[in-house]
This record gives sequence, C-alpha cells and structure tokens, in this order.
Amino acid sequence: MAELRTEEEQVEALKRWWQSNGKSLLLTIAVALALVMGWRAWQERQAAEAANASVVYQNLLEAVNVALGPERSDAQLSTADHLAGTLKSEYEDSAYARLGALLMARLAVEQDKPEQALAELDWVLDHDPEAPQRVLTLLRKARLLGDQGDFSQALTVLEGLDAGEFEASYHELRGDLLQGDGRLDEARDAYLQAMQAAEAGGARPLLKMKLDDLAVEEG
Amino acid sequence: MLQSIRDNSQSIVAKIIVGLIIVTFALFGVESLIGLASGSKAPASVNGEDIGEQELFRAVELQRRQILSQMGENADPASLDDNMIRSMVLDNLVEQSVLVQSAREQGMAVSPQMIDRSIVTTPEFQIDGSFDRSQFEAVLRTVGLTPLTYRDYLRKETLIQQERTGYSLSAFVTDSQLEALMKLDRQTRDLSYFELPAAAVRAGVEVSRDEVSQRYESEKSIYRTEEQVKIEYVMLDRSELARDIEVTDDELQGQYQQTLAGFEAQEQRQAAHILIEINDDRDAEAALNEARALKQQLDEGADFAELAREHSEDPGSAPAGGELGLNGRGVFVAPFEDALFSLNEGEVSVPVKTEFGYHLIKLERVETTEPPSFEESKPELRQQVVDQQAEGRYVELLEQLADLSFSSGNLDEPAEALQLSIQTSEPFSRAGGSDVVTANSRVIDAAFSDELIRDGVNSLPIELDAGRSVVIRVKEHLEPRQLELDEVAEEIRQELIEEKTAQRLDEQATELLGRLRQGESIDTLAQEQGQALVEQAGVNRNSQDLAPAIRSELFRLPRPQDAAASFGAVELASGGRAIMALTAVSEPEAEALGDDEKRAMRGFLASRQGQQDYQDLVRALKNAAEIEIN
Repeated sequence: MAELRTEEEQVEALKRWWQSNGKSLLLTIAVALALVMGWRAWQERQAAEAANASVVYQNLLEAVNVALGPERSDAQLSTADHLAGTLKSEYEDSAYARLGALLMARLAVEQDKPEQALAELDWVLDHDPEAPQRVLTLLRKARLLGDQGDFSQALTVLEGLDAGEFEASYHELRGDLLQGDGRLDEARDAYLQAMQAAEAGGARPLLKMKLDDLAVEEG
Repeated sequence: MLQSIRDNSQSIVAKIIVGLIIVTFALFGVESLIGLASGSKAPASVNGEDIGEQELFRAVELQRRQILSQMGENADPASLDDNMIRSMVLDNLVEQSVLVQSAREQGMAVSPQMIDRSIVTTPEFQIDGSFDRSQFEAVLRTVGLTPLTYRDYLRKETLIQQERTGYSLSAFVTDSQLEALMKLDRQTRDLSYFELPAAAVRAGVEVSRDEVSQRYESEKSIYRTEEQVKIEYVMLDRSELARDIEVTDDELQGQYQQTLAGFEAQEQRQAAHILIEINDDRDAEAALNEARALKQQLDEGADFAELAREHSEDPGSAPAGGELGLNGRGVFVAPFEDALFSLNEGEVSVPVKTEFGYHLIKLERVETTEPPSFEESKPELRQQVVDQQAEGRYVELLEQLADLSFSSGNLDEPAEALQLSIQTSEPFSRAGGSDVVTANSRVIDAAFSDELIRDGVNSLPIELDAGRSVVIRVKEHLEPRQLELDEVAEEIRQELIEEKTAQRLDEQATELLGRLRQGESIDTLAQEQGQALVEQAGVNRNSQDLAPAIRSELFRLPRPQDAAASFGAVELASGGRAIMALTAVSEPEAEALGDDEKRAMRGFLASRQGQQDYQDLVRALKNAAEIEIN
C-alpha cells in the first residue's frame, strides 16, 4: 500500500472503490440473503408439511389398530378411510401416503375386498417407492393375485424380481403359488431356496413344515 | 502479490467466493469451519453421520444401570463385561441411526408438538391423571436422562415406530394362505412302527484292547485333566464378631435416647383447610382478599367446616368440611407444612400462599405416638447396639487384615493377629467349587491369577457378601496333565461300544427299510425281530402319545403314493431305532374352523408376517447404509 500515503488518499481510494463496486456488492449481499431466506423458508415449509402428514399418519395408525382389533366398527373404518384419503390427496408424494396405502390394503383384505386391496398396492407402486418398499408391495400383490386363483399372473409379477433381503419371503411365496398351482416339484425347489435364504434371516418354522410336507422318498 | 489480490478482488470470481463464504456462515454457522479442524474419530459413523463418543457413553451408562437394576441388590458392577455392553449398545445405536436416517430421507418427520403431546400423556409422568413437571424430571433423573436428551430419544423412537408399525401392521394373510396353513398344521397321519432296541445289539458288540489303545493314541490330546487349584483362606465374618460383643446398660440407654430423639418427628397433625385458587378469573390479590374475608368471618365465630364446604376450591376436601386427615411431616408442600406445624391446637392460620392458591389452615388435633418404654424395647436396642459395634469392629479388622496379608508371605500372621482359623479348600477348577468360598467368581478369578499361582502371594480381601470377606492364597496348583491309557481305558471302551452299536443299528435299519420297500410287510419284519408292532391312527403334530423323535420324523416322511405306505427309520432317545411306516395322511375340512378361531389365527399369522417383513426391511436398510465402526 505504498502508493496511498495519506489518510485522505486512502479514504479517497475507498470512496472511489465504493462508487464503482458498491452497487454490485450490495446486490450480491441482497441476492445471497434472499437465497438464504428463501431456502430456509422452503425448508420450514417442507418440515411443517411433513409434520402435518406425520400427525395424520399417527392418527391413521391408531384408527387401523382399532379397526383390526376386537372392537372394530364401521366408524373406525371410515375414519381410517378418510385419513388415508387425506394423506393421498394432500401429501401425495410423502412416504406417509404410501405407508397409509399399504395399511388400507390390509384393511381391504380383512374386509374381503381384494380388488380394492390391489388398487391400494398399485397406488404405492405408481408413487415411486424406495426399493425395499417396492419389493414388499410386489410380494403382497402377488400374494393377493394368488389368492384369487390367478397363479400365472402372480408368478409373472414375481418373475425376475431382485428381492434382495426379502429373498426368503420371495421364494416361500413362489413355493406357495406353485404349490397352489399343483406344480409340486417346482414348489419344493422354491421352498428349498427359501430355506437357504432364510438362514440369514432367522428361523421360519412354517416354511419348514411346508417343505417337509412335500418330501419325497430318498434315492 | 497484494496488488494482484486487489486486482482480482474486483473480478466476478472473487465476488462469488465472498458470496459463498457468506452463505456458508449464514446456513451452517461457525461450527462448519471448526468441525473440519477437530480430528478425533467417532466410535462409529452411518452414511457419514457420526455416532459421538458422548452419545455412546450415555447409552452405555443407561444400559449398565438397566442391567444392574434387573440383577437386583446383589448386583456386582465389576461382573459386567464393559466391552460386550459397549459393542451391543453401539450396534443398537447404529441400527437406530440407520432407521432414523432412512425415515428422514423419505421425508418423515416428528414435530415438537407431537413430542410434547406424547410426553404429557405418558402415565409415568403424571400425578393424579395430569402431567407433572417435577415428576417428569424425577423419573428422567432416575434413568440418567435430561429433558433435552429424552426429547431427542423420543423423536427418534417415534420416527422409527411410525415406519415399523406401518410395515408390520399392513402385512396380511389371505384366505387361501390361511386354509393351506391350517391343512398343514392340523393334518393327521396314521402309522405303524416297531423298535430295534439298542441293548440286544450292544450285548453282542466286542471291543479289543488294541482298538482302545488305537483310539487313545489318535485322540491323546483330549484326554487331559483340568487345571485345578487348592487354596487356603481366612474368613472374617461379621456375625462371628457380633457373638463376642457385650452390651452395657449405659450403651442401651444411649441407644434408647437416640430412638426417642427420632420419635419426636413422628408427630401427626389433623388439619382442615379452605383453598382459594389463583386462576385465570382471579389474580393473586383478589384471592388473597377473599381469603382474608373468610378469615375475618372465622374470627367472628363462623364454623370452619361450613365455610370450607361453601367456599373451598379443593374438590377433594371441600365436601368433608376441608378435612385433610391425620398427617406427619413431608406430606404437604413446604409453606403449607410450615404453617400447619407452627399452629396451636384449634387455631386457624392467616392466608398461606402455595402454588395452588391461598389456604386457610386449621389445626384440629395433634397426635403424638407414644414412644415404647425402655424395658419394652430392650431386645431391639441390644440388637441395634450389637449390629453397630460389630459393623465398626468388622470394618476395623478388615483394614488390619488387608494390611497384614499384604505385608506377610503367608496366612499365619494375619490369622494369629485376628484370631482366625486357616481353612483349606478342596481342589477346584475354573468352573468353581461347591462351597460359598470356592463358588464365588471373584475368588475363582483371584485363585487362578498369575500373582497367586506364580508369585505365591496372599490375595487382597475379597468380599463374599456384605458381612463376610476372605483372604486366600494358593496352596497347590495342579497343572493339567496327560491322562495315562489305564486311567481312561474304560471310558474309551464304552465310547467305542456305543459307536459300534449305533453303526450296527443303522445297518440293520437300512436293510429292513430296503425289504419294506421291496414289498415285505412291516408286520412280518416286526415278528422276525421279536418286537411288537405299534399302530396309531390320527396322530397330530402335538400328539403326546408318541416319542417326540418318532412324531417329528412321522411328519417329515413323504406322503404315501398310490395307496402304498412310505417308510423311515429314526434314532430314539434310548439309543435304539424305530422302523416306521406312514400309511395315510388326512387333512381337515376348511369349515372345521370357527369364525373367531379363524380371525385369531389370521391376526396371529399376519403379525408374524409383519414382524418378518420389518426385520427384512431393517436388514435391507442396514446393508444399504455405509456403516463404519472404529
């Protein structure tokens, strides 16, 4: 700073600098602030929205719990219906809406309305579920199709699915479907695969029972 | 250099950099820079999010306390394996973090209001059905939490619970699934079988000396004795000390006086009160005025009970004329108690302010429990004095014992000085002996320690329980040694006999099964073996009439094809074999199940399925996460 010897000169330099750059500096700050505040506001809105959905969902859980219990009533069912509807319409993209649809699928099955249950599961599949949720939803869908006697469509749903950690359930379900379809040898293979996969995921006594029931004479 | 910075500072790039710095500070604060500098490694991280040393420490402490409180009063904190607890707790924290992160990423959230609601409605934090802040804090303190850490914990747990319940509650079981399972579970099978007893085969088995010595040579290493020690110890026993204590009358008197002093606090006072609440409609001054007015009326001779019925706003006592019953100290809040215990009988207090409002308190009666007489309480007093003195003496001697046994090379000196006898144990292994001393885990640890075995020193005093301690030394150390052939020959011979018997039985069973499959009848074979044929129809999975081995094998046998039976053999608990023929399988009709039974079974199976689904989900999330454990 050798060239700016006196105070006046320094002040003068500052002033000059301000004149040429002041506006853009202020503008930069203003833009930065606006960005920050906008970002914060957006985050808060997201948080508030999630929190609202969370409350609705929590109420839905309670309603479903009662609707499945011994004190089930039409009132509880329509409450659950309403809450799940709210989640789907107002928080369509949230995880709560998808979980809500899964819960409604169960209620539909319990009321013997398979078409409705399938519609709920398809709603989940249409709304971009995470990988594990997608697998689980597909398994449940295939299970329902099998229950309606449509084994080939059910098996098609499962075909080529990478079940990941759900592999034991996946093969067990395939076994059930094949067994229902009368393809016992294939069913046995599927159950065997399920047994192998289950070793990582804990004991499954029912699976063992199903496999033993299809036993064949040795040798 | 400076010139170039100045020149550049006007460029767009510099402005952007300045802008970025502003944004960084505004969004993330100073910590964002400081955090980069601090280098210590966290115990674990999940997707780059640390689980801090402090968080782990807190959780470990919490877990320790829980384990100790489950173990009851004899809990020994030293017996807990800290490393095991730490790694267990860390696993839990990692799983929690995985689940919370996944929930957050999916946009799940819990608002502070939800947490408030959940806290306020927790029964443990309530007194008389409404939330009580001090109760809340007290409960948290007992488990080592602060309101802030508890809220954080609750927030995470709620997030996890929302996902868990969503998945597990939504699992269902279809009608066809239920029917298939029911057919499986309730199917019955008909069988006939006969036994091949082991005894007959065993009697015909011979084992030569050569075979025994061959086995001994090939598996020499397993025939060794266990390492054992024999210890000497002296025991200091408080109850022994108590026996020698003489108590003088003076001491009894002194103890009696102390008891009397404690007695005065047991005074009980019967009180009544009138409460004027401070609430939204009435501020403190108005309440005070009202209370004063009532006091005025009382001074003028109005009846307390009547006024209480009419004006008191304590719904519990007002109908009874304000009556609160007989109470000692420590029942009421402090200002109330102070006022009550400074009143004379029959007197009414000036208005007293508490957190509830203003009270007028009337002391109706003072009841003092009469202390028991000296003669009456003599036996109890004597016991108290003896206990106190024995405890003092015990502590004193324990200290001496520690000093003496540390400084001397054997137990003789401490034993003589403290007039204790030296006792010797039976040899015992690391699994422990059978008496109270050698079964104690700390005694075992000490007895097998290098110091005691190699250096031959005395142990430190080891507390067996609150009133007994021992000092031990190793008298004899029995190293594990190779057992001679003669010592184990019989054991090996038995082993070989059993092996050969099993082998022959298996051969027989295979041969018999072959003949059965050729078409010979099981009846003929049973007769040939001189065994009775047992036939049972309608055996279910829980049938108690069959040996468990036979029953479970029965349900593993292939279903009979084309009216022919299927056959199998199974080892029995007695060592023999059962040769079995499965002749028929029958399945129940779906209608056999009632509606209620069906519903219950459905619910059970669905919740099982739900748990399974959630377990798999957790595994999936964990495997997908980047978990680092340091």
